Amino acid sequence: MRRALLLLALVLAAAPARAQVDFSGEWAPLYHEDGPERGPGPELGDYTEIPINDAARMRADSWDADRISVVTEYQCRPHGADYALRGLGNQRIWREIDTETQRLIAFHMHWLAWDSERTIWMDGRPHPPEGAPHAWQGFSTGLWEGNTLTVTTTHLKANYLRRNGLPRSEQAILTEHWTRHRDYLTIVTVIEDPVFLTESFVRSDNWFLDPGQRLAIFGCEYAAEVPKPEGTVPHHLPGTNPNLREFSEWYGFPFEATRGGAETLYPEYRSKLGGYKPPAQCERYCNCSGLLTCNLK
Amino acid sequence: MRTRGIVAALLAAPIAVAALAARGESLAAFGAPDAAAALGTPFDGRCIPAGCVASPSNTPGILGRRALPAGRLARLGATPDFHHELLAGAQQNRLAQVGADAGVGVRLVQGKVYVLTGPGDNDGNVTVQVGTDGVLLVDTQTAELAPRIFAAIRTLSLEPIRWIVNTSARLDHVGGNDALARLGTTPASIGRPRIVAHENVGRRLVGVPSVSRDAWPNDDFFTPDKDFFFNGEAVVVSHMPAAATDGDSIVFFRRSDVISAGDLFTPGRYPAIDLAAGGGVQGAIDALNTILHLTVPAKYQEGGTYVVPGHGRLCDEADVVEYREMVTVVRDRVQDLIRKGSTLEQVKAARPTRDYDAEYAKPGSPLPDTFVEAVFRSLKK
Ligand SMILES: [Zn+2]
Repeated sequence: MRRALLLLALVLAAAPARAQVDFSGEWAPLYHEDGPERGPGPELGDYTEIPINDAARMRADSWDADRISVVTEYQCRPHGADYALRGLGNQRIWREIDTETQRLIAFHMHWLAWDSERTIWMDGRPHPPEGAPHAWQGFSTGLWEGNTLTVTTTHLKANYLRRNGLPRSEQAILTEHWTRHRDYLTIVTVIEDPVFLTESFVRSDNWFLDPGQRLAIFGCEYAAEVPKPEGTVPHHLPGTNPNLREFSEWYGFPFEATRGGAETLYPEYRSKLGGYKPPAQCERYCNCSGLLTCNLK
Repeated sequence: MRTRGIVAALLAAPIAVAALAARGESLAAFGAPDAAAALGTPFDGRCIPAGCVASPSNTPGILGRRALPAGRLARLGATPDFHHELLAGAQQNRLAQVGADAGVGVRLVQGKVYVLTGPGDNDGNVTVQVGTDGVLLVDTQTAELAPRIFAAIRTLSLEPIRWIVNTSARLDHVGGNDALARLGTTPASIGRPRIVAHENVGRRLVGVPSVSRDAWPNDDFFTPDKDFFFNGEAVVVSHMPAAATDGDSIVFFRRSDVISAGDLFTPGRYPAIDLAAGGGVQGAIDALNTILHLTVPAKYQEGGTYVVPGHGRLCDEADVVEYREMVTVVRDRVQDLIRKGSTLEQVKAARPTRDYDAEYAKPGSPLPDTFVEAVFRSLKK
């Protein structure tokens, strides 16, 4: 009788006190959203649909891709927590459980890109104080909102919104909403950046469960590739970047529309632009869903 | 001997500090009346766990059209241990708030090096190295703050202050020299600490009414470097010529792997380049490049060598890279405007820092125009 009661108690204790979903597993990314940007990479000067301010625009106009080669410190710099969800997004998620209490302490994530690892603390610990170091993955804590996990990340290092030089500052706060529908995982991200954004920047990414996925080692060693004068930082002086109009010319967009800003996010902006005249023939990114399927010239 | 033993225990486990006070072994017995109360505040336990754009190149020697993330992506066996070490190190990174009175933050950087921050947002950082040989300070803030700084030091070590290194002659870096030297060497028979700085620091302090003769460096150097061995590690003080001033130094703790950079590196603030005191933008950039020579990041290009800035949060190499980029880009923009014949007023009107102002124009630090003017005048020299 006593044993039966004990069993009953155990069964009851196993029932979740509140909704919790297990995100553990091997997840393969779906590139059906923003394929060209996430696969081969964004076009230079493509700032469309990002609520950037003038400072971000100027920083991106000044950016020169040579920097990631000439400045050795950039070569092995990983994606930040916000961008890691987008590029080479194969990931493994696993839970850390307190063996004494069976409570969830954290979700851990491992990414193919740069072998990055990230922890989302679920044990209620506070975020570090202001003077603490920042990290590429920042410091993340999670809270349940029904079956959705809402993650807040602070203490990010300065990084990029897009790999064409659009910056994201270290003051940014990243909020994520994780939802699992059977074998699909959707993460909606909201970036608030008082330095470079005029309103919240929202993106979403999707994965499917792929238990057979085996993540390779990415590995990265930085090395000087060309002799260069001490402290060279490649950049374009204001008004001298020759590549900024390529994007609008290739796709037939008005140049102003490629310059980004909150206004360009909303459908009403179309009426401002007049009629869109696409090029006679699609020659670029016509059918692009991964690294190798884009029709690049 | 007994003092040494307790200090060794403190060093081995900073978190044991609270336990020590709880057992009643008040540090007041060792000459720090405020310290015992300060020690009652436990550490809060907070911690941090831790492309492919195709473009024609405009840098000579670079191949045009890069298709994938540049760099030699060697297929190295990345060891998980490396990452776990990084996490373990970061987990010790606890902040002790030294009592409500003091308001000075105490943070372990790594190894034997700590940083004291505050109490004000713009106050300078004091780097503290502790061990059985005694206490070493890099910069001393102001005389008024000295008792609070000292209370914070006494939560880390009960040993005398043996060395003070000044990274510049600025009053918020040398102001506490004399007061901390007195507080940190009781009884007086212990003797005054050596105060190390480049000889130009002493020259700048002569005739400054608020700085007494006792606060002047008593162990200055005129060579590029001065080094000594203290608390089990090499300490290298390197002069950075004509940078923020003509007397700037950085301090490298070789075993702890920490650099104290003084006002040559102030994240979130434009550099205070003082031409009247012998500073210049090229020297400021050279100093940042020297720091980047010394720093080696751990896995993921973060951690590894830590850099304590003159003001602002604890940083590593990647943060210095961002800062070096800002100063270099602004230097190049101003140089270009000068080449085109612009006057100072025209350069200011062109606002060559406008994409950096939201990040670096912090109240209480140099304004964009002040920084631009310093760059302009440096380049015109
Ligand atoms: Zn200062």
